[in-house]
Amino acid sequence: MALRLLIAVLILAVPVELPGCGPYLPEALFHLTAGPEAPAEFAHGQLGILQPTYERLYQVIAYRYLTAVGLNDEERRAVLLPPEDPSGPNSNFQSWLNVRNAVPGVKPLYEIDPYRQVKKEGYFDTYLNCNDDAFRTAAATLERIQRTGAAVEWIAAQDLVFSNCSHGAAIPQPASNPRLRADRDYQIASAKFYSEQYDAARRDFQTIAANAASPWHDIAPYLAARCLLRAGKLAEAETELRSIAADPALKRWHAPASRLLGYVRLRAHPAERMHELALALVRPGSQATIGQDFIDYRELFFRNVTPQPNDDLTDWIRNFQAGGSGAVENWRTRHTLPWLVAALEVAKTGDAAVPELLAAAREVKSDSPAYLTVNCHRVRLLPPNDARALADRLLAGTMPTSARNQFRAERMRLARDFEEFLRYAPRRPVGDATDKWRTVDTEADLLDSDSALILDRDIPLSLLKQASTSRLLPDDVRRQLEDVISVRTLLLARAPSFDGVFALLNTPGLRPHVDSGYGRYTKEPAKIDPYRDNWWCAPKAIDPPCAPFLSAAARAQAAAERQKLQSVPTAPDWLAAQTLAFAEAHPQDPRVPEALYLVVRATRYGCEDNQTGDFSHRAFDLLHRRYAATEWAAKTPYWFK
Amino acid sequence: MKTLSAAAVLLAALLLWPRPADPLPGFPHVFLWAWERPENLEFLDPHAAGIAFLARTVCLRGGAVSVRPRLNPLRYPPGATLMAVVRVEPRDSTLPPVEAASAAIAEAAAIPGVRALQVDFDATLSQRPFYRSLLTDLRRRVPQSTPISMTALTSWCESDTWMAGLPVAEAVPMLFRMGPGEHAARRFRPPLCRSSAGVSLDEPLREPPLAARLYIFNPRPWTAAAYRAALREVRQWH
Repeated sequence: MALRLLIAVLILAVPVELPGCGPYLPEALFHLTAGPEAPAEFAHGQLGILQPTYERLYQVIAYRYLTAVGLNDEERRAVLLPPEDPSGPNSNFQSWLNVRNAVPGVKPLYEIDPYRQVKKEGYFDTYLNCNDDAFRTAAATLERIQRTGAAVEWIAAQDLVFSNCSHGAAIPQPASNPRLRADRDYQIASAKFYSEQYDAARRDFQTIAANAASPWHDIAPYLAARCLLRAGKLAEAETELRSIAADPALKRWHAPASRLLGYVRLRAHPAERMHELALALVRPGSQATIGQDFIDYRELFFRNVTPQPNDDLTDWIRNFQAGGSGAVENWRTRHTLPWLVAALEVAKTGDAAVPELLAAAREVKSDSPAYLTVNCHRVRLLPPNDARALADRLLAGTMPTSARNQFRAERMRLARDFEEFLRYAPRRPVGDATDKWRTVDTEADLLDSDSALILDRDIPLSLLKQASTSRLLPDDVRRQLEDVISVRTLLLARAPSFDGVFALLNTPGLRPHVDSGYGRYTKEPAKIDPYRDNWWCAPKAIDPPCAPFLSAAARAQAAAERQKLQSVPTAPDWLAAQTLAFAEAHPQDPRVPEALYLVVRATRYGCEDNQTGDFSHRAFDLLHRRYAATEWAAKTPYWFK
Repeated sequence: MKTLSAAAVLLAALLLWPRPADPLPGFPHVFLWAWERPENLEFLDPHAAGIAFLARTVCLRGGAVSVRPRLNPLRYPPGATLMAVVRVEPRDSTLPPVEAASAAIAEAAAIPGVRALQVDFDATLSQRPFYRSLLTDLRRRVPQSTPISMTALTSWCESDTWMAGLPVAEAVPMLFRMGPGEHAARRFRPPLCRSSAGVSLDEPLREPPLAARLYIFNPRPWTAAAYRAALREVRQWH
């Protein structure tokens, strides 16, 4: 029974799945930098506190709302469409294969490779040769052909056409069946197109275009233009696509031709195209184009293209994201909401422009999409009493969690006493980051880095004790503070008690500092953390304290404690020094052998410095010299450098 | 005289000491990793460095295999040694038949000019038997003249034995993007991990690795200046 139990425990103890890479320990995020925590609400105009670090998609959406253009339902769907996973199954060629394979007498086909490799010396590349439209068109055509009774023959030729998607140059023979002739001519032209014979394919499509009886004659001019594009003849392609887009007889092909024209102009005239895109992106009713336009616009941003001529959207995004001082000048000349937001973003207390910016910000109505953003800056820039009153009024209302966290951070900075500090110290995570980030929905409040820093650095032990009993802090934070107080008390004592040292040796999760966010990955304090987050490391240099709400006496007490804590070495060294001293003074104490074993363990799993190895060696030697017969010596086969 | 004799004995010992044979004989001792972005490596000296380029990503999802080929151009000088890197990415816990996955990987060996294959994957504990079978099947599919390399987490080379007996020429421990508290060892014990190491331009190492062959990752597109700087650094190490 015991053996079975042991086996069961061992099976349960071994994780079934381990992440293959990393480790990436989760970090709590209190506001997101790349985008809003609720993109759908953001796309409805609930911008929260707009961040200059947001991705450009969100800057474009924000600009539309700040200029009262907004997004309609279809535009919203188009911009928030999740990016297609290129590794996902290709549903279009699968749909084509499904209808093809359902035709009686046709040998089933299970795979088509739509990608073709470029054959060129000193060059490797692959491109999507047969795109989704090709398979959709084939499926629709098969439906028509089936009515003629010549489906098997047509499919045989179509298989040849699609065989060119990945390699080769297989061209179907002209049709002897007159019912298939026009379709076969189209298949031949397509096969040439997919096998990179663009001049020949273009001639064939032009011939088809001239044949009014062909069901393909109206698409053929468009495909002839695509041949020019595939051949890299951008100027000719542009001319031809323009003429298609202007031809009333080819109305059905105006939209596809315009899209291709955009593709050509992005490559041939990037600066002009960027300008066109910037105008198109802020146009109402742009649902048909906004999705692709944004992709193209972002691509030109990546390439660092400057639009020709300049436009307000691009200018604003560049200024807002770079934090340039030009924002204030632009605000003064344009007096628009986007530029007010950009100017406030760079404004600092004492800047000459602050009064006029604050006056303009005050006029922003509560139903404005910029309301929370400008008021966050008002709280930052107003005199403390006004800022406090404004923050309290805003915090009494509803707002996105990340915005609330930022207002609470500002309000904490303005705290007049310790209780106010504690009231605004907790924040609610909106996301967490590992190797990527995700949003989280939680009811648990934690400490962000600003509140943890003040508690850790500026608050004396006496006030920490008060905080540990305050209902203003979440239970987990109060429990953490109790642990911090117990460790600090020990470290600050003139002669630390060995009872305390021994307890600390047994509790690697105890440390004298306050953690922000999720804290230590291993939550059980008595367990060793596998990522070596055990006890504490040697203190680093810290910034000067910043807690103006403290009394002079409390500040002095905190400074004295801080000075002493700054001199405490890394935990394994401190624990070893205390234990070795106790062992020398009390060699008969029954806890000493275990304590020496624990010291060696601490030098293995704790934070090390250049003395840690020496301490490990000394504890090991003493354990094996004086207590060799104990189980603790047997459990300590090594010491650690 | 005594000193001279000792020196001679030491020299002889060094010369006669069995050194592990190069698992990729005739291949350059430096490879630049060229990941999925436009890369122009025409400045590269083919005698000084080879190119290990991401050729395709093989995705395993719902028991099926799909392939995403490289969709960004790679330019290289005549005579460059090319190694096709295939990244394997399981998207869920249902793995496909080994043969389907290995066939998709093996196709990269047929890319014109490719002389070796490198398989890049992260194997969880439960996936390790799958990858063992995959590499065994892959070895059967790819001509013996084409060496198979694989990337490895450092933990696989340090405290793990699961790679023992894998039919690959080398395992390249990735000495970058490691977890907190980890640091790169200079040399690893398993023979598969001893000949090569992967380093990144943006993560300086405390100590240079002792591996004879280095694969260098650049988080940004390669430039001639970055290439020359990387070679200078590597030459200081060897």
